[in-house]
Amino acid sequence: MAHDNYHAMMSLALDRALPPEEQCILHGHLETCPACRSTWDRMCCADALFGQAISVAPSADFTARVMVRVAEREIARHEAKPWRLAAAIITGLFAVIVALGVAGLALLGEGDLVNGIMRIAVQGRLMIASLGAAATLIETLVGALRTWLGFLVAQPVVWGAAISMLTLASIWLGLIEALKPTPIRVESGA
Amino acid sequence: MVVDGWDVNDDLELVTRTLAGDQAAFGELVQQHQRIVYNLTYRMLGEAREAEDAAQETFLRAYEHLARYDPNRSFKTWLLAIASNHCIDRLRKRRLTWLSLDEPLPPHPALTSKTTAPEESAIEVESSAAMQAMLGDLPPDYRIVIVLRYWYDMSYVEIAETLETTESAVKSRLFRARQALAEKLQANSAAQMSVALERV
Repeated sequence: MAHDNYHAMMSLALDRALPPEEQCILHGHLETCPACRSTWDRMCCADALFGQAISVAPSADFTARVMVRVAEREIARHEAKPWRLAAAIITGLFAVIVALGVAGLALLGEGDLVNGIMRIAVQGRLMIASLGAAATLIETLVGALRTWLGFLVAQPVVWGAAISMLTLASIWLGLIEALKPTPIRVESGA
Repeated sequence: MVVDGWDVNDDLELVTRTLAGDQAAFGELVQQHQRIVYNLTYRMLGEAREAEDAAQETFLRAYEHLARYDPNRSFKTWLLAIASNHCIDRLRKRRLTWLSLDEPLPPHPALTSKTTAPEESAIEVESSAAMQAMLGDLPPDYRIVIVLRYWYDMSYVEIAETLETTESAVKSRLFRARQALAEKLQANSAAQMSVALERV
């Protein structure tokens, strides 16, 4: 422990980062201290061993494997988006509700806040009643549409016309598809 | 600037193309830097399969955070920083879970397939295995500075930049790591001596 300073100097000397005057101090010490001399020899030995370090290479298909994983991550990221959006909306709404609650409590006090919430609840009930009226109107319209469609379906002329139109549309779409130019496939590499 | 026949401006161009949605450009970046990343993960983890997985993970992280890459910084250094952090995390988890770091680490298969004379090859494999075993005994923070110093010939400044630390911290870690290696060598030679004495 007492010679840690000399060990630090040895490390710098191995990296050729020790100033000349400190090199003299180190070598002077090494001549008089067998323990540090031994450490120095072993540090030099390790330095020589690691100096011959060989670089290793990955398997030949490494890049291809990475690119497969990149593609998989991309797909996973796109698939995860709706969940993330839903989670963000829910979290955001929760945060807004909590923030409003805290702000309301701070501004109005507990009693006023409860009264305010009750008023909002009454307004909400009125809104739901309005929505109920709108739902009744939509139901009536849908009923009328169903009656009208039922009348049309019951008429053989309407059936015949619909089938003829569908046949014509299929032929037309098939013709368009057949007339489309076929893309030329270019093979890359040998 | 050209390093090892590769223009570092090419990295910037490939990064720009990748950010614009060109995945093939990222493939070129992987192709170019796979060896340096893999070598680091192998030297840090000491096991070929885990090293390959860690190297792949390094590139995936680089891909995901490419928008955060600072073009003023070397792309290679940035990649090595990601790889270093990832390997240190793995080693810490490993130490907490299942593998003792005292176990000797096996040599890489690539080291056994060199076409040198059998004797030379055996010595090379032996010294490489010894080196890997000594590395495996070092704590992750010391191991990474040794790897960056000896395998990548990085200066103190470059190591500090890669590990996002100070130059004095790098000097200190290198010194402690070398001290540990010297002690390990001393212990090994003492063990060899006792084995030789037992044989006599």
